[in-house]
Amino acid sequence: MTDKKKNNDKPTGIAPSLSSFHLEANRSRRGMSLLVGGIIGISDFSDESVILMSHTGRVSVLGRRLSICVYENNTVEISGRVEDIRFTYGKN
Amino acid sequence: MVRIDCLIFGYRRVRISPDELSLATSILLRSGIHSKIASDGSFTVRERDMERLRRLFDGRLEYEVSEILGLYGKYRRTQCKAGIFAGVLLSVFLFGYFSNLVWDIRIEGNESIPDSAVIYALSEKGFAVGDRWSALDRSKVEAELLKDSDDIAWININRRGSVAYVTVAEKEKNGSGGENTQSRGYANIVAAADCVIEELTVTRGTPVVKVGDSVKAGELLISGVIPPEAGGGFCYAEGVVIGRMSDTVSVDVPRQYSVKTQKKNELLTKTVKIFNFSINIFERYGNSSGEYDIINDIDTFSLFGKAKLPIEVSSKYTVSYETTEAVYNDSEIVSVAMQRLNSALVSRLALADLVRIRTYGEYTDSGYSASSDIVFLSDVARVLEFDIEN
Repeated sequence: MTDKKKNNDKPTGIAPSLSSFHLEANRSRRGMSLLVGGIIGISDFSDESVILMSHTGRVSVLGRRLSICVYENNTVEISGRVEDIRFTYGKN
Repeated sequence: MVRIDCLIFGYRRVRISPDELSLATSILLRSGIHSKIASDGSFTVRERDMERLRRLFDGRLEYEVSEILGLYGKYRRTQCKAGIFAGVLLSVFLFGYFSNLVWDIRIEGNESIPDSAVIYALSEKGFAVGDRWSALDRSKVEAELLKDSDDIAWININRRGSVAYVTVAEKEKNGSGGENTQSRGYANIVAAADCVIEELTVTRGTPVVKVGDSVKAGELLISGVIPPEAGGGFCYAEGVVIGRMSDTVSVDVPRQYSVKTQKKNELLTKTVKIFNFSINIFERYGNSSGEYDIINDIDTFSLFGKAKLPIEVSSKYTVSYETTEAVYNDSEIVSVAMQRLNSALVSRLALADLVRIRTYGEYTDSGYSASSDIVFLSDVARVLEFDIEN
């Protein structure tokens, strides 16, 4: 039983089903992969910038050749050459 | 990159105006529709989410939807084409049919029996390349081959895929081992040639000569008769007797010689063999005249040099020759004579140690004669069996 629990705790690489805000960054073939959870909307999306909105603020991602993958559980994955990430606290 | 589940179960590519991309992305995010979005305004959506997407987008956004992509889309587009189903059915049939044939026979475990002899013996018993596995009784083939073969002690036919791996164990030849010959009776050891004894090692029997003695061919060296003081009786004499002997090796090379030049190749037949089916694609009728050889050239094919394919192209053709007379000059004839003398010496001294050699040569009326006087050491023991009559 203990072993099973241990295995379940391992990261699976699939977006976690969390509604609270979190961010996970990994290097990828195209540059960087940012997995952002707890997102309620996207206010701007272009090749060079993405602005994500959460309940408590917003995340601005600047870079080049950015693309977005939307998952079911309020999670967004941003891929591309990420150059700058900014967090803003406060109501949207 | 499209996800694997989208590829299998189908997806569509949706295109909207880049200005409305943020809104569309927010809608997708809130409704939990999985999609991959590019900044040029296109994104992919799974086929099963399309109905939901239409409900959300209709009246709010302008968008274009592609046809179904991925494997499911492929299937939907081609399901009404009978040719594809016929092709699939034919492939399944051909796969089933050809996998039930013997594609190759590989022999293992044989040393003195050649592979071709085993394959021929198997074909005599009804097991050959091109036969159907389902119609074969391997145990019966093994039993019949064992019954009729004088050389094979055990055989096993294994199937790995469509290839037959035949493992054989050869029968041991009687009379080759010393123990077997020894059990046959009694023997003396006599000299095989005139020589001077250089070395004498007696394993069994009574030595009759000693080192330094000159002996004639057939003279007794080790006797199989045990003297009364040693207990008496008879035995199978064994030992090594090295003798020093001399000989002259000569070769005569005539000045005139024949040169055979190939004239032309003429194709007689060409046959393609696939499994057991032979297709004769060319045949020449009529007789060839003059001096010629018939060459049967068989080309086989293999995949990457490993797996042999059951396809052979056999070409049988005649190679005719023209014989012309030529003459050696002085240096050529000496060179040829020396080469032939060396070959003769190699074969004469194959089982001997050379002690001394003197080579000489002379031009003769017909050509050139080369000779070598040699002194060498060789095993001169020859076993001569005898029986005791009561």
